[in-house]
Amino acid sequence: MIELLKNRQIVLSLIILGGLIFMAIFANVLAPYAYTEKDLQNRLQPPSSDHLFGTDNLGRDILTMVMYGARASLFVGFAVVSVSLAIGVALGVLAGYYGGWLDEIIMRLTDSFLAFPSMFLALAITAFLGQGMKNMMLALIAVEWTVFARVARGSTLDVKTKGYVRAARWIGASNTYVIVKHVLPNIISPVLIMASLGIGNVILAAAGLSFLGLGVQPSTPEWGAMLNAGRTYFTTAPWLMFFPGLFIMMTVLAFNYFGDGLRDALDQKMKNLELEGRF
Amino acid sequence: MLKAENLHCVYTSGLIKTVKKTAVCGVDLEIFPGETVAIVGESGCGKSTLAKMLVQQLAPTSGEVFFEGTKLTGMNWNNLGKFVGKIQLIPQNPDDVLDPRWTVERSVAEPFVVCGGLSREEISENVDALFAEVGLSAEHKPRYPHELSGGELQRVVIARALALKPELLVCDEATSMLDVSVQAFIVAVLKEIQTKRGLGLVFITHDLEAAKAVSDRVLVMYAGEIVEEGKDVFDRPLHPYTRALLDAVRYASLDVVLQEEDRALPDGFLGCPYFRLCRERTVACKEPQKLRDVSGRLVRCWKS
Ligand SMILES: Nc1ncnc2c1ncn2[C@@H]1O[C@H](COP(=O)(O)OP(=O)(O)OP(=O)(O)O)[C@@H](O)[C@H]1O
Ligand code: SF4
Ligand SMILES: [Mg+2]
Repeated sequence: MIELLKNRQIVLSLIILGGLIFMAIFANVLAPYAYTEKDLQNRLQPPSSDHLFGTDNLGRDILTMVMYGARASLFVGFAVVSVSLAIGVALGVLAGYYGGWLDEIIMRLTDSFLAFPSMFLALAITAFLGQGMKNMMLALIAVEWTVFARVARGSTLDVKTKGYVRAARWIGASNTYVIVKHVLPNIISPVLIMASLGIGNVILAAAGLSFLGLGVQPSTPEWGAMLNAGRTYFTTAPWLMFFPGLFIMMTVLAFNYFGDGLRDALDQKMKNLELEGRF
Repeated sequence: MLKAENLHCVYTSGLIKTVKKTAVCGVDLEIFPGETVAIVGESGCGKSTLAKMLVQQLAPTSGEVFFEGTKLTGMNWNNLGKFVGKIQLIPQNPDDVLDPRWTVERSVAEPFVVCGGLSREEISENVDALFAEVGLSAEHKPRYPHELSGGELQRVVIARALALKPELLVCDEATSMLDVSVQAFIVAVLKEIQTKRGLGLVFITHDLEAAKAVSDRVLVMYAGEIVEEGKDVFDRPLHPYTRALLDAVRYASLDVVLQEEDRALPDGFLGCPYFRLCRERTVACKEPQKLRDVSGRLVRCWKS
């Protein structure tokens, strides 16, 4: 753990992410205004000392909206990735560990999800289920879990051949014991790396869906929705789009940077996976 | 105690063009309680394959293994559970027998934890006793496998294998990766444990000196077959291959170290597997050779 902090990439991204998370959690304390507060006199104001990031078409403070937006985006990112991770790792480990027909079924299922471009799949699902935050998250989970299933399966196949798995079986341990005590702890690092890269991707995809009007309602403070709402004023009041865009970029980059750092820092196993072209 | 009958193992590799390789071919053997049997033979002759089949880690292509009269081969996992712990293998490569994310103490305690029925104090007492038995100190306990030397690791693996009080311990080249003094130490540790606990020991090795020193009986393998078996094999070798093996050690002669192609026999050749390299071969050697009893020694060569 401490060794991870020797990696400059990890430290830098952790600082940025820490700041973002702090901002999201304490948005109600830190934000200069309430996000519902509309000031129709001061619509579309450029950045000033009163409104550091300017105001939008309803006179709401953009800095406030961006801060609350961090809440929505990070929540979506973490929630979607946690659920996808749980589903994907469970299925991937089962497929890899037991093999045979179970593997066949699970992998065909993942393949059929992977057969569509992910954005297309998410679009189709939200279009089908209807607009809204919950449906958007379901759509993103549908896309994201396959990543974890594949990584977990690949790593499990690797761990399964190890002597300690055989040795545990030969002292009478059950399959459940072996999976919980030996397999999961040994596949956790590639999974965590995929998770941190995944959060970035999910935040970007969520913003994309909201921008297209398929995610969060345009009036709620969410970065993608803010981009959508600001699009009409792009030429006259570019700050409406600039600040949420900047934060999306920063967040996604920080998560990817963190994931890459983890990957570099963590064990040899990743190198083997890389050789097999899984990343 | 452990009895194997007519064990065969054929490996199939390759997806499109499959290649078959007979690693073990018709091995019969029996191990008695408290006995040390050494299995020697050159690299690739099928020693590890045989060991894995004996402990049921590998299903034989054909043939059977019995433990105290019960047939183990073909038994499902639930029934096999009764024999768990009684037969333990110390594999050729000890590196991955221990979970890299577990301290070695936890790995040695694992058999007790899995089998249940002991309190935490009892487990830790048992673990301490095992560490002492293989000559490791408390200082090694909290370490991870990569923080131990090869010899220490090997001893941790032995300690773990001893945890469930096995009646038979199969050591696949337990010492070949170590330097001479550590080798001698581990051999001594094993021998001491054996006399103390009276367990059967199968000692697979390249090291003829070690084999001679520890064993009550020696099996010489060549190309997946047992070619000679008996008590004083090294003092009075009867099979030409055993003699060549001993010569290779005594004189480090190079002519036994031949290319794979040179020793390959024509397809469908059923005669003596050692035919190509044997200095004493005659036309009669093209006939299949059986293990013959030559005054208490089993030899697979008509000449002896
Ligand atoms: N999984 C496998 N698939 C195909 N062939 C194999 C496999 N494992 C072993 N072999 C082949 O079977 C033969 C016997 O292998 P084995 O590991 O039993 O040899 P060994 O006597 O233990 O050798 P060493 O002394 O080098 O450990 C070898 O020719 C090897 O190439
Ligand atoms: S049978 Fe013939 S070839 Fe085989 S070992 Fe004996 S003498 Fe040599
Ligand atoms: Mg071997």
